[in-house]
Amino acid sequence: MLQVNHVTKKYGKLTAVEDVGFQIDNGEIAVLLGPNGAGKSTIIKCISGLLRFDGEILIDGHANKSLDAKRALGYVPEMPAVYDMLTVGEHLEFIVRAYRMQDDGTAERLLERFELLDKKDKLGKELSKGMQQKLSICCALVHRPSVVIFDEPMVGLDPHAIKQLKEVFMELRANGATVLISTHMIDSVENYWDKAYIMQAGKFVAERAASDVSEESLESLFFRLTESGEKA
Amino acid sequence: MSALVYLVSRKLKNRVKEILHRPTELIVLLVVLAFAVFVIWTGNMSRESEALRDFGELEAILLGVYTVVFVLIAKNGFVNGAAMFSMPDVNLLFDAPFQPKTMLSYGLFSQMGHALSLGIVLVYQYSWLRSAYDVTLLKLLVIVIGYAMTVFLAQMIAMLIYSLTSGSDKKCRIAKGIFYGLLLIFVAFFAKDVLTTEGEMLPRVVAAANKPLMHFLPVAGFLRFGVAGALSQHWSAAFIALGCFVVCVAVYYVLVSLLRIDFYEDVLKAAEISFSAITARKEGKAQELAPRNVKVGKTGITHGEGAAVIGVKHSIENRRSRFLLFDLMSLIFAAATIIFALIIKDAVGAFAFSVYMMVMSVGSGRWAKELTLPYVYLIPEPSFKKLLYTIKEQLPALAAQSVLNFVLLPFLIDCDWLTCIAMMTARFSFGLLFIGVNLLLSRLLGGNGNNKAIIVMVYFLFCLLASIPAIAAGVAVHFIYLGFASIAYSFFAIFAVNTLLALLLLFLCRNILETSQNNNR
Repeated sequence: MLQVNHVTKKYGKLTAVEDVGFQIDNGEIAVLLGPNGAGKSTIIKCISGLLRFDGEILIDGHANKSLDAKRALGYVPEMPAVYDMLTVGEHLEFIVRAYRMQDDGTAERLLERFELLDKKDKLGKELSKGMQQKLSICCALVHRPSVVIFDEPMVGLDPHAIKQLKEVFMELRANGATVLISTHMIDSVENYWDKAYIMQAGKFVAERAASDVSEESLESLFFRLTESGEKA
Repeated sequence: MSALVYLVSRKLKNRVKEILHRPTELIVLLVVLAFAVFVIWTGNMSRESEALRDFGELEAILLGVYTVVFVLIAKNGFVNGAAMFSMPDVNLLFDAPFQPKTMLSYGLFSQMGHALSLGIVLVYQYSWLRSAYDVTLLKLLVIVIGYAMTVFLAQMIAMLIYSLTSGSDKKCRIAKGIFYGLLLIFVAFFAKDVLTTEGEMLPRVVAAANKPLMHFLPVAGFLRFGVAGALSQHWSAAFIALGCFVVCVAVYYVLVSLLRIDFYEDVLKAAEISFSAITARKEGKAQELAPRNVKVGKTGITHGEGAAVIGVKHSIENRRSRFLLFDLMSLIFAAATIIFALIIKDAVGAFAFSVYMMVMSVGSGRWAKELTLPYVYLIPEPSFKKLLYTIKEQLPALAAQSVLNFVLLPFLIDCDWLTCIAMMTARFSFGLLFIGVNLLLSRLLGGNGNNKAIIVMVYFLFCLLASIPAIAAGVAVHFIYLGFASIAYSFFAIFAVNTLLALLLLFLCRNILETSQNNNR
C-alpha cells in the first residue's frame, strides 16, 4: 500500500508539488496524468526517496526513507538508469545481491520476457535507449517489490515490450502489489487503471476511480481540465 | 545580412542577455573578471622584486602546452572526427542551401572562438609569467592567439584524418602509424638530447625542447617558433609561422575540393557524441570515460552482499574502463608536477602545485558518478555503510597517485626521502579532505544548486577553508621545531589534521544518501 499525505515540494521559490495526498491500496493500479511540467516526476521522486519534501509518504506502512520501505519499493525512473560498464546480467545480479535476495530464476525470466536474454553479456553502454529502458524495468522488478512506481515507462519501448509491460502491470495487480504509473500517454493506460489522478501546476485537479460511473472518458476529462484550467 | 552572420551575432547577443538576466551568472562573470584583473595587478606589482628566469624555459613550456593540446584534439580524428559543429548546426544548417566550404569555415572559426574564450585560463597564469619571464599583457595575448591557432589546426587535422580513414581499419592503422610515429621520432630526439648531455636536468630539458629540429614538430613546433619569435620581436619567425598556418589552411581547402570530401558525415558522429555529453550533463549524469572497445572479460559479480556489492561493482567497472590506479588526467597532472618541481626546484612549491591540480580531479571519481544514479539511494542498507563502500574505490587510486607525483623528486631536486614520503601522505590526506568537501557540498546544496559555475566557486572556497587548519598546523610545526626538524614533520602534521577533518566531514555527511536530492532532471 502507498500513502501520500500532504506532500509539498519546493525548489527554492518554485513550488513543484503542493499539498498532494492520495492512497493506493494493495492490488490496485493508479495512473498519474498531467501535461509536461505538472509535477508528476517530482512526486514520483519524492515517493522513491530521491527528493526531500514536506509531508508524509508511507510504503507498506513504513516511512519511505526507512530500510523496510526501500525493500518493498521498485522504481523505474524517467531516464533509463544503467551502468555503462556492467553487463545486462550483472545489473540484475547487482540488485539481487544489494537487496540480499536469493536468485530464484526471476532475473532470467524477466530478461527472457523483455527479450534481453540474448543480450545478457552486453554492456549497458552498448544498449539502445529502448533496451536500457527494458533493463531499467527488469532492475525495478527483480527483487519482487510490493510497491512499484513507473515514471513514463513506455517511452522508447517497442510494441512487444509495451505488450509485456502491460501484462506485468496486470500480474502485479493480481499478485496484490501496489502500482503507480506516471504517464502522459493516456491511451496506453485506458484499459487497466483502478484510480486516476490528473495533475496540473503541482496540484491534483481531478481524481477518478474506475468504478465511478461517468460518460466522459478519462482522455476527454484530461483535455477539458488541462486545456481550460478548471478543476473537477 | 548573411544567415550565418545573423546566427552568430544572435547567439552572442542572446548569451549576453542571458548573463544579464541571471544574477548568478553575472556574479560568476564579474568574479572571473575581477580575479583576472587581480592576477594582472599582482603580476605587475611583484615584477620589480624578482630576477627574470631564462626565456628559453618559456619557449619550452609553450612547446609542451601546444603539443599536448594538438595531440589531444587531433587524435580524435581516429575515433570521432572533429567536434566543431553542434547538433542544431547539423540538423538545421547542413540541410540549408549553404556551400560546404562556407559551413566548413563557419565550423572552424566557431571553434577558434571557443578556443579564444578558453584562453581566459591562460590569463590566470599572468602573474607568474610576468614575474618569471616578463610576459606583458600584449605578449600574453600572442601566447593565447598561438593556442587558438593550435586548436584551429588540430580540429582541421582531426577532421581530415577522419574523412580519409573512417570506414577502413587499414587506413586508420596506417594514419595512426604515421601520426604517432612522427610524434615518437621527435620524442626520441628530445629524449636522446636530454639523456646524452650533462649538467642539471632543467637546462638539459630546455635546451632539447628549443633545438631547431623541434620547430618542425607538426603544428605545435612552427606555432611555438612563431609565438616565441613574436615575444622576442624576431618578426621573421612570426611571419614564417603565420605563413605555415596559411599554407596548412589552404592545403586543407584544396584537399577538401580535390578529394571531394563530404565532411558532413564525418562531423556527425562527433556532433552526436558531444550532444549526448551535453544532454547527460544537463540531466546531471556523469559521463563514463570508457575506452572505445571495452574488453568485458570475466562476467558476473560473484561476491558481496548489501552495501558491499557497491565496492565489488566499482572494481569491475574500473577494470573494464582500464582504470586501475591511474587515468590519463592523473598521469598528466603527475608529469606537470614533476616539471613544475624541476622549474622551481622547491619541494613545498611542487607539493602546493600538486594539491592545487588535485582539487578538481577528486570530484570526478566513480563514487561521484554513483551518486547520480538512483540505485545507491534505493538499496535497503544503512546510508553511512553505503557511503563508505561508495568512496572506498577512490582510496587506492589516491594513494598510488600521491606516490607517483613525488617519488621522483629525491632524484631531481633537493628533497630527502623522509620529506618525499611525508609529502605523499599529506597529498593523500588532501584527497580525503576534498572528498569530504564534495560530500559536504552535496549535503548542503542537495541538488539545489542549478548554476554549475557557482557550485565550482563555492567548492573551491570550501576546499580553501577546509585546508586552513592543516596548513596552519604544518606552519606551526615548522616554526615550533625550527632548526630541529625537517619540513617532513610539517607534512606529517598536515596529514594528521586533514585526516581527522576528513573523517569528521564524512561523519557529518553520514546520512547524505537519505537526504541528498538525486535531482536527475
